[in-house]
Amino acid sequence: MQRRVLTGLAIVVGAALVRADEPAPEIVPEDAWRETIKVELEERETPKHPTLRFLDENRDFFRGRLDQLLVRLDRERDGSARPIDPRYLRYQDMMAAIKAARDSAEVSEEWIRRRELLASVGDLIPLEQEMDEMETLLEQQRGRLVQIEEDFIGRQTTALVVLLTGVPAAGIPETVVLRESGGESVRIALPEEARVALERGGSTQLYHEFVEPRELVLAVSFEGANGSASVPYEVTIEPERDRLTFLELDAAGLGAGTPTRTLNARTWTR
Amino acid sequence: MRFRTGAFAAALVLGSLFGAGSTFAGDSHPFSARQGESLARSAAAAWAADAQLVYVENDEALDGGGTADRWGYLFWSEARQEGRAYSVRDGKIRTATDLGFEFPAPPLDSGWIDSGAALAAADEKKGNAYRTEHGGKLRSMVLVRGLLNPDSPDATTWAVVYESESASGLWVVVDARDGKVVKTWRG
Repeated sequence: MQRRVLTGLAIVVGAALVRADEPAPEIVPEDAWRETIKVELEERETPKHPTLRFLDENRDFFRGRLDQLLVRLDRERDGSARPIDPRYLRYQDMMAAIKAARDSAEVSEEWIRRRELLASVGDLIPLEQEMDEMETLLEQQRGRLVQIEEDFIGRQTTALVVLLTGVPAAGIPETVVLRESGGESVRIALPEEARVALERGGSTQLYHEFVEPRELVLAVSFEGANGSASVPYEVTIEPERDRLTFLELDAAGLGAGTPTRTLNARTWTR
Repeated sequence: MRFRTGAFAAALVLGSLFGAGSTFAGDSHPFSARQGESLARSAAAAWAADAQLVYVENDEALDGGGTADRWGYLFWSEARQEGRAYSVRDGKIRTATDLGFEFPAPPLDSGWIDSGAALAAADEKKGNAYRTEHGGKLRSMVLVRGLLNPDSPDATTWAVVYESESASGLWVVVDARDGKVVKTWRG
């Protein structure tokens, strides 16, 4: 959001402020005070890529139609049940199969224990058959795991983890502030264990949330115990869709020497 | 995955200006509404777990095949009671914005026909004639559920909107399940 700052000077003269038709006061108070007021006008930013213009131009039409529909649906609501995700039903069958397989495995174990001392080579044949059966059970179990993996890993959502390492020149910060350009700010107070970890050259996790898979411009600033705050350091990342993106911020020596807005950082995905 | 810090960003900008032209706006490739849906859904899932796609509209001019350089996808979250729009171009999300007003429209039926098929049906029914008779042109395509055909409030429909300088506009509503034109009106 662009801001235009208009600075005005408001002179507040308290009780000395009088109407023109009144006689001038005899004494002008010495302690008349002045206050500078900053008036900030927020201008609506014209989006670089305007979206849904037709909807916006015809907002009243669509909204009116929607209201009609909602009234109608409200009248006709029948409370019918929603279909259950078939995967959940399949998991029940899967659990039953796992239980049955476990019973079979326990029986086989007991059978093997009773034949610890094999009387003859001929006893090896049924033992091999038992081993084959157990292998089949293991194979089935693997199949179930693959199925569960496909169901859940396939639903990985784009996420971002922000890590901090290194100690700025001003010392270990009390709070780290992440602010997305045009978005919201997140203030992360570093607990004692995180501060100790940084001091010892380790790293700490600041943030772990789902994010949209698009270019994100983050302003990172560090706040000290005495209320001091660093300049915001800008980092641009583009989290990969449906992957977990790690962003490691290296604050080592930050703020020492020539002022810079550059923050060493690296990313990787999983 | 791209990453850069402030100084590196400047280098990238310069690089894109003087280097390969693949990042210029004019190089984008038109695509159908379906092709951008998956990316938009992925973003919406990060925004709200219960996000539902409720509206689609072309964000750039349409061509004769029902494709556009940019499409907009609107999601509604019941839990947040908010809408969020994603504008997709060249396989990337160009804009992510909160909707400035309430629009808790019903979620789109997942089996909707693509923009090309919907446009072909609308053109054949009345669109081509409108273009010929009034010098009309295609203005917008929107996909929404239940709002444009009161006779079938559960149906997801495409609205193909034509406009002309000499006549009132033409709306052709196409059932997004089977591609049949179900309604037309002028206005």
